[in-house]
Amino acid sequence: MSSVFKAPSSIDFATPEEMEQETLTTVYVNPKYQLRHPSSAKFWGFLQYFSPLIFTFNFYNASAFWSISLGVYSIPLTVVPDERMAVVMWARYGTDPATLCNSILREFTDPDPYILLKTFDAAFDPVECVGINFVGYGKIFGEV
Amino acid sequence: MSSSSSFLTPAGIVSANPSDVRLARSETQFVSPGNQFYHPSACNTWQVFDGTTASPPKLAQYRSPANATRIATGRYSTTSVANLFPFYYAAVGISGNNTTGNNFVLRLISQAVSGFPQTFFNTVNIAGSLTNAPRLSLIIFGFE
Repeated sequence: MSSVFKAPSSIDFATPEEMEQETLTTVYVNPKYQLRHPSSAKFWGFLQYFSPLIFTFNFYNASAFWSISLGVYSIPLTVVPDERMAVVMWARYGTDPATLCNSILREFTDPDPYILLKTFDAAFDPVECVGINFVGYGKIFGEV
Repeated sequence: MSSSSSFLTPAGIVSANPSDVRLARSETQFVSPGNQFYHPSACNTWQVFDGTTASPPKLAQYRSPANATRIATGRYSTTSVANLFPFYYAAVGISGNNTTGNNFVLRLISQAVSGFPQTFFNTVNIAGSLTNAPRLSLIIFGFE
């Protein structure tokens, strides 16, 4: 557990646990632990897949990603998330409006935390998507 | 990048400036409500708009995002304001019709990742045809 900085007025900065509990009104929020508040996104990112180039950009809790198989993407997380996290994703398949791109998600936390994204077409066959946006909320364990 | 000067509270505690909030590392500064949105875990902007009109009005919004533009039936774009998203960003969205119960799908079509980022998206009905949806939500995470 991290040490807590003591303000001159004896007012403390909220610990990670206090941020998650969100009950105190007599402590300060510092930039480092703002992430721990339930209203804070724990990770977000936008990845693009242009075979053979893989390029990604993301918020610091999500690192590189790779394509496991057709339409299946793995995104490792640098912090351990709780199993109960909400993840929203939005995938781009193509410009044909008649071709829908559906997507589902699975998430794993042990031993190495990562999320697994899958993208499907209108027939529910896996397709390679060229752009995927994702945002995740939930509780995390450990230091950031 | 915008910046504002830090101020000193009577207790001697310094308010984190936008750069410090964006860096999300300080344990000795406090986050003020005016700068909280700079934190990477906070969304930069969101909006809900009515896509049934040529100039879609915003039904609800956060931080005055630019109005969405309806390019054609079921085709929309949003463009960030200057300096809002100078780097890559993540955008998620969904659409629906809360008056008839019909299902709509909001599809990501393309996403510019530099300059003045633009997000293009379509709404299609369950038959896969382009359709103007009365309610579209868009949430964007990024760095300012």
